[in-house]
Amino acid sequence: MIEFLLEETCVGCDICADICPQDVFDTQASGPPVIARQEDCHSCRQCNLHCPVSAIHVSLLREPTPDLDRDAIVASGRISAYAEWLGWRKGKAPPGDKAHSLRLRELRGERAPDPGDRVRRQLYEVRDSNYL
Amino acid sequence: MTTKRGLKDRIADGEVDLQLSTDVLVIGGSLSGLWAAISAVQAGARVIVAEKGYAGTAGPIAAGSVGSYFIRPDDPSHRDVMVNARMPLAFGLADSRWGEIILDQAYKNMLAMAQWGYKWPTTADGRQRPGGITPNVLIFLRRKAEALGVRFLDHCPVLELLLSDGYAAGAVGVNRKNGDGWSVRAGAVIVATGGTAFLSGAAGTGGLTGDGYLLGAEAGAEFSGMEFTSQFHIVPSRGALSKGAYRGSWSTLTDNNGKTITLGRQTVKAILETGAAWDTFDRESDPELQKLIFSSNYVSTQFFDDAGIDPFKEKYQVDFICEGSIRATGGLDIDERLSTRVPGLYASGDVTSREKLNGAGPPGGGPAAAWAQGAGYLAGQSAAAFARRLGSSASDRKVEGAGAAGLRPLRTRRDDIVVKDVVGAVQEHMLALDKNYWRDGASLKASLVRYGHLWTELRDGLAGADDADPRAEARSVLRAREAAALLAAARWMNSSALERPETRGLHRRSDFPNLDPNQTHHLISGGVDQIWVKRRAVDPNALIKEAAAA
Ligand SMILES: Cc1cc2nc3c(=O)[nH]c(=O)nc-3n(C[C@H](O)[C@H](O)[C@H](O)COP(=O)(O)OP(=O)(O)OC[C@H]3O[C@@H](n4cnc5c(N)ncnc54)[C@H](O)[C@@H]3O)c2cc1C
Ligand code: SF4
Ligand code: SF4
Repeated sequence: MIEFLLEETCVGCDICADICPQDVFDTQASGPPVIARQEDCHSCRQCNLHCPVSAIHVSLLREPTPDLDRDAIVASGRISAYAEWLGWRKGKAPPGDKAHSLRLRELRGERAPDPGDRVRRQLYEVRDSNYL
Repeated sequence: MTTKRGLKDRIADGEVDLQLSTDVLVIGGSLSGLWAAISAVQAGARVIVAEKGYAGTAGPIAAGSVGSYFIRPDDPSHRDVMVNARMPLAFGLADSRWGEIILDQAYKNMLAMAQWGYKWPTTADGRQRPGGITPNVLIFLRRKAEALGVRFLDHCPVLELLLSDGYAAGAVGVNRKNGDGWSVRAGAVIVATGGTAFLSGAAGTGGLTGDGYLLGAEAGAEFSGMEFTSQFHIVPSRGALSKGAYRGSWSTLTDNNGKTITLGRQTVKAILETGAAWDTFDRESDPELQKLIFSSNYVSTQFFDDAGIDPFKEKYQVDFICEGSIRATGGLDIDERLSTRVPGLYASGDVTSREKLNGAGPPGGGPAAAWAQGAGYLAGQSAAAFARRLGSSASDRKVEGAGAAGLRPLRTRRDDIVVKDVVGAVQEHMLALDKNYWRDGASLKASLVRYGHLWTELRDGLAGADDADPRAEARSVLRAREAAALLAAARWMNSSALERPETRGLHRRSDFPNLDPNQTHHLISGGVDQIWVKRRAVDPNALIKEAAAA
């Protein structure tokens, strides 16, 4: 759920309003867009990714959070954590993928599936062939 | 200032503000629609994509990330296992020839992306591992399609198809940003509008209202396997993203009494019978690895930051949320060219029946995304070839709008038919674990009676409201049409579910909890005002390989 848009940080580029698939924002003649239909937000975090100055916070909660501490979310870096995780910079996507799940598998290993689970076991046994 | 007539009337009379023509029109611009557009433009067609949201940010993949099967055709054992290992989950309704066709095409698509400069994840020893379909992939494909000359109509939901003598000939819609109506005349149309989660709140599914089913059925297309649409998935209670991969060998699920349970039917049983299910990450005690688990899955674990929960220290409640026909199996019935039975009307991705690939089982977890890519590509080729055969006179054909329910009421519009109530009535059944995860004959019948009455009312009197603000009017017109699509989807699904008194794959009947070998057939459905369901025997030429026993 989109939680807030930091009006003082926003540079008024209107990109969030352009790309929001749920048409949550209304643009204004000047100044930041307005969160006009918060109830239509489907938590995709795309406005958060596309904002060049990380001025939008989207939570992974289905309902808005009352009394949210905006300063703490900005100060802790949480406002841009997902974008960084995906490798976005200044509202731009990288042409690639950061391979988080591969790293986890390399470092922690993977538990072999239950031997009785024929389907998972077969898929597990060939998974190395998925590499080029 | 001239006052325009109401948007609905302008649409009804074909007097829309923007009129375009093209060879191939793609409806829906997520993974499957983007691949369909790229393939059609590469085949030499002029292509327009009309997307309800924004192509590249709309749809469930943009909200999370999904894993696609990636199968090397040059490695026979790999291919054999990937195609055949899931066959037992298909319960006799898949055709492994399709597995090979679709998965080979998906492989080519992902390889092409690498050639176009997309950097798939690379292992420590430098090998590439394609298959992770992230939001980055969607944006990349959108930019690629633009570079190839595809034209995008963003924020332009399709409201109805245009037909010419029974041929699909384009579509009409609204622009949510300015309230204008638009139309596109096309030689061929591809529907790639995804499935529907009945607005359950699952992340990324807010635009998925089953519109493509209604567009197709109004034109005369049929469905297959609409009973295999009861997909529910684990989600933290209060959480939005119903992606399960953040859990793993480090987590333990329990019922409300603390008894350990497995993911799936036992979880649903715990919720229904003990009142709740809980999860915790108690099987990894190494703090470094805990950190790694958390950070590797931040696409999902952001939830714990937002909710203020430490899943390694405390348990948190989980729900099973409706994903409906998303990453399920049922949908528009298509042939090997991804054509519906309406000439010129193609379909791909979640909106189609994927029984050919996965039978009664869920294609999620790899095959669904592979299908979206592979089928999208093949649909693009077929549609481009069809449009080429029709030639450039296609856009001069006399056309008629095929849209009815929620758009063109039979009688005068009634203010007392409220969109929210229609959607609520649909959700009351479709989101409920005890009605739609576990179905039963009595509640299916009751829902169909209720939905039948509701349909008649809606057909008579539901339409968007006029509004001085053109954007508000466009929203109202769209919402009315979406409500009709949701109700129609529920009717095809529940009618099919009633005709399958057994439990098979994604279709579960509490009154018939076992698989009945005599029901190894497909259920075909269709009709709009009068819904029908009939049996179709499994294709005698289908290759139904049972994976070799252990
Ligand atoms: C949480 C989650 C996890 C998943 N994980 C996996 C996985 O690990 N592996 C896997 O294989 N699959 C997975 N899936 C399934 C996968 O996401 C889908 O199979 C895939 O998104 C289908 O792509 P699509 O392009 O057919 O449809 P969608 O991605 O659903 O896109 C449909 C598009 O059509 C647009 N649209 C709808 N109506 C209209 C209209 N009237 N006019 C214009 N446009 C319209 C929508 O806005 C949307 O952009 C998962 C799904 C979910 C929800
Ligand atoms: S999270 Fe997605 S739906 Fe919500 S406001 Fe941002 S872009 Fe729009
Ligand atoms: S994308 Fe960011 S900077 Fe641009 S208008 Fe939206 S909030 Fe402001």
